[in-house]
Amino acid sequence: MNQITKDQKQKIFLSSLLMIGLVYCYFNFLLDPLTKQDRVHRSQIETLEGKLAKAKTAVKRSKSVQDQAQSAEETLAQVGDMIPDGAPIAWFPPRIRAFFDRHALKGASVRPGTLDAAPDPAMHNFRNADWSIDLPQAGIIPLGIALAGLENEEKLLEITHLQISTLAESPEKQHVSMNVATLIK
Amino acid sequence: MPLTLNLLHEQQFLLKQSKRDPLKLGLYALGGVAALFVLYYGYRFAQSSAVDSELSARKAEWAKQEPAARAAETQETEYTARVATAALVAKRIDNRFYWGPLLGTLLKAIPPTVQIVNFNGTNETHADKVTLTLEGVVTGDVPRLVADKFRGELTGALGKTYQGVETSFRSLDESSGSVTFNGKTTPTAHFTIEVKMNKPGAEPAATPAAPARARR
Repeated sequence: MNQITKDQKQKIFLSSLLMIGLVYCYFNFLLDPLTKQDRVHRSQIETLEGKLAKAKTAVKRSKSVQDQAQSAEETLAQVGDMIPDGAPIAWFPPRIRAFFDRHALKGASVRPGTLDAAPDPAMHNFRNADWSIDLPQAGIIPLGIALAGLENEEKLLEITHLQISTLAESPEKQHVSMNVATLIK
Repeated sequence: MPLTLNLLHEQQFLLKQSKRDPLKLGLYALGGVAALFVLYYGYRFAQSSAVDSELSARKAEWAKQEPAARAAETQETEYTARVATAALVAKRIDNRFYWGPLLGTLLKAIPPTVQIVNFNGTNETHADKVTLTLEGVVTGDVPRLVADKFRGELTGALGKTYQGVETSFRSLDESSGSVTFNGKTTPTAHFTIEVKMNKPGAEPAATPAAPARARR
């Protein structure tokens, strides 16, 4: 009675096949794709979170640089105001002559020198202009005062060469020649 | 013991057989496992949906942030360039070499026994040092000593204001002439002194290491 019949054996075999099929189909066609999709989505989230963090940092950094840029803008605007519009030959020599005239150093002559790009590429908005200034007669003390005044008034100007020679005919007077460099637009 | 005859034996046997049918039992088990699988799949699907919705939220956030980040990066480049330009202009203005105060210092340092006839100062844009050449006439009982004393005093006077002052004679020649100074006739000498000093903002030159003592 307890012997398994052939028919029962076949049914057990069929049930086992069905069970195996169910497990295979479940894992292969349902659970695995879901897991894979999940994994892909999680890695995409991680990538996006990294990108978002970077983006937020970039925005923050830009804001902090913006604050610095505002004061830089003010500096550049002040520098821009120091440089008159127009060709430098039109405004620089008269300005310098007028300055030395105000300091009782008459007869100053100003000649243009080289005009080239500013030495640093970051200063591409500016150019460097060299000039030669000649003062035929100057007392040493008024000259010192005038040079100090020139350096204070003309903040973009730098004297690159200065020659003071005593005049043989009047030893209390000197002949002065100098080269100056200025920033222009 | 009475003898009983079960006339339903066949029928009961078939019923029992039907209850123990392996296919039927297998199908029941299959159904149970399938139900468990469905429950678990539902749980996993819910989890996956949460991940999906999180991804969608991140994508939407990125769609908002990306243009802002790009704009911020572009602006940052512009701002940085402006800040760099302003810094360079400010550095150029701040690190200028001022000749007015230098002339003041020189005038104070020149004694009555010395007359400068020619002053030549060079401040090259890319050089770290300013070079001065002073040509003059000196008088005194021993003009060479007076000239050397003047050089020392000049070094001291300039050293109070400027860094890395170095002075040296390029020439010092006694001349045949003489001058009357304070009612006394004294010989003269011509000199040329070269002065070198650091520009403001220039890095000080490295001090050379002391040479190691030679072992005996």
